[in-house]
Parts: sequence; C-alpha cells; structure tokens
Amino acid sequence: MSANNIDAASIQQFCADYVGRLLGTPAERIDPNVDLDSLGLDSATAVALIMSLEEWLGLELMPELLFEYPTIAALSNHLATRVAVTAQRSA
Amino acid sequence: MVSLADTNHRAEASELRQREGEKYGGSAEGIRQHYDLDTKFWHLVLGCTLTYSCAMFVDGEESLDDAQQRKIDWHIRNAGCAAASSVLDIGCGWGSILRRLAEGSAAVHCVGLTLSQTQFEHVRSQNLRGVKVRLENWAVHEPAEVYDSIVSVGAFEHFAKPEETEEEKISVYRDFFARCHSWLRPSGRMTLQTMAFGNMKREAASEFMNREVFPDSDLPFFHEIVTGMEGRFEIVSFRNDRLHYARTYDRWATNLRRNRAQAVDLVGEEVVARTERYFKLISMGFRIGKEHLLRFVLRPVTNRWALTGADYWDLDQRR
Repeated sequence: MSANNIDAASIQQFCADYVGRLLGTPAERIDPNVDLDSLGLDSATAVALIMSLEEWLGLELMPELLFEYPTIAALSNHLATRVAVTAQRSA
Repeated sequence: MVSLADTNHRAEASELRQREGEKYGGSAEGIRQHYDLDTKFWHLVLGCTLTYSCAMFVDGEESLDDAQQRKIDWHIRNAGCAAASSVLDIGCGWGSILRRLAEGSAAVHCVGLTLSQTQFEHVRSQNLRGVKVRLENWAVHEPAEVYDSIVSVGAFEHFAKPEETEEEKISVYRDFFARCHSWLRPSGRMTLQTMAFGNMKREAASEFMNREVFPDSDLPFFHEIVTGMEGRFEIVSFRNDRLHYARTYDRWATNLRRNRAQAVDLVGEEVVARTERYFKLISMGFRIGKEHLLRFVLRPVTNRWALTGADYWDLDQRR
C-alpha cells in the first residue's frame, strides 16, 4: 500500500492486527476505543507497535504519542492526518 | 567517627574489590563497548554539546543543545564551581563540563576521570585550560590536593554490577561516597546525577539493556544511594527529572533518524538498529516511571560546626 491511500481505517486495521496477533485474539475483537494498556499491552510491546508503525508509514514517531492518543482509534486518526500532511508536502 | 556498620561495609567493599579486580567500581571493558563507538557517531546523535546524559528543559520547544547547556550550568552552579579553585569531574565523558569550566573566568584547576579511551583522547586533544583528564577508575584515584567541588553526571549507573547482591552494591556506593568525602574540602559541594530504578524490580531489568546496551552495569535504587551516603553527605536538594530524560532520549532518536545513513556508514546497520530500539524503550521507561533520573546537591557531613552552621543560600542565588 502506498502512502497515498493510507487512511485512518487502514491504520486502525494494522494496529488491530498487530495487537490481536500479540494477544492471540482475532483482530475484529479488539475494541479500538479502549486504552491500549487496558487491552493488556505492556509498555515494551506498545513501543514495538510504535516502531512498526514508524517503519510502515515512514514517519518519525515517539512513545509519547501513546499518552496523547491512548486508543487505537485516536492514534489512527492522528497518524492518518500526519500521513496526509506528509504526502501533501512531498507532492 | 567510624561506626561499626562503617567498618563492616569497608570490609565488604575490600572483599568485593579483591573478587572483581579492575572491574570494581566500573568495568572499563563494559564502558568501552558502549562509549568507544566512533565519536563522530555520538556527535550525530548527541548534538554539539556531546553530552550523553539527561538535559534540563524549560519547555517542550527548547533545543536539545540549550537544555544540555542548562544542565551543565546547573551542576557548575550547585557544586559551587564559581568560587572553586579545584574541581573533580567523575565520569567526565567527552568533557562538556570541563570545557565550560575552562572557558569560564575563574582560574580553576579541573580533573576529569573517564574509563573510555576515546573520551579520554577526545578531552586531551582539546588542550583545555587548567584541565587534566585521566583514564582512571574513581576507585584508584589519588588526588594531588583536596577539591572544592565534585561533579558526577551519568557515571554512578556503572558502579554496580548485575551479579552483585544488594549489600554488595551498597558497599560499593558507600566506598564511593567515603572517597568523595575524603577528597572534598569540608566546605565544598558535590552534585550527583544518575539514573535509578523507579517502579520496577531489579530482576525485571531488561536483559536487552544489560547485555546489549550497558554490559556489566546495574542501576541503583534511590534508597541504595541514600544509604550509601549516610554519615558522609547531607542532601541539600534532589529532583527527579525522569520526563526530562524521556524527552532527551526522544531528541537523540530524532537526531539519529535524521542522520541515519551517515550513522550506518560510521557504525553499521546493526548498532544503529539496536540504538534506535534502546532509545525508544528507555524513553518509554522514563515516561512511565520504571526508571528515574535523580539529581542531587550534596554537602559533606563534618564535625566542624562553624562550617555546618554557615548558610549556603548564596550558592543557589548565584545564577
């Protein structure tokens, strides 16, 4: 998938797949509106999620994002905006 | 005044010293593995102050270099270096504090200790006015004269080893503070900055950190530091700036990312990838309080009542 057609929904799917894989739960059972820490993700795994998003999206992401946007839904919306801004700049 | 507990600690420290040999108080091998990467690499990551320890930010917008300078000046001010004629820097790194002192107006004589060959050569090559740098462990340091000020930033983390018992760790710390106490003029001041375990158990310390990042090093707990200085130093003030360290690590991660290609050329893909992972993990650790960043201002305990009673407000006012 190129950066142009990455949107909030596809980022949300990526996160749900990632978290689901870690927790051994089907992705569709992961509630995107629940805090990642109450889903059972530990801090090291949350950092790993941030790092794989960083690699996939080609953005620079810091762990502090997880505190500003603690749910998959909030994180995905924020990242989608950043992806769009970056795409616009390089267009 | 030597208590029985003191005598026991001294015996324990000397036993440990015998067992660990040159590694006692800080393993040169462990230090070199981390710090002896190409200085150009550290320049890319750490910025122009070349300071590998927690900065002191006023806000989120401030540049890393300014925040590092503020940290350096905090130590210089609180250790009373402005009025000092001699200063000891234990774990001087690439010499950012020594350089600041050498460039200052005071005619000050400074000694820096490091266990890293690269750092040692880097400091020596700068020919800083009044500065002597030594490739030496604090455990074998023998000063030519007493110091008016001692600063130690980001070295204490390396004094203890993961395989030591808590009692052994404390006896190393006690030995360290006892030496600092004997090297410092009774009216002198010392600042100490170190990472510490926060809300985490020692055995939970990531193996990745111990093996890959800082071999042969174990962080202190706050209570171990305080026990270590009991009877030797009075705590004038201390602060826990863990969020400042999370931010510092984030800035280093940004620097590394922006200069990634150049960094890979200097140290290779594997080291860069490991460093990126370490920066992110540790930033998270500081943010959630698994690790703390402690800065202490200390004054030596002395039975010279005329000194103990003298006020020290002017040290804080000197800005």
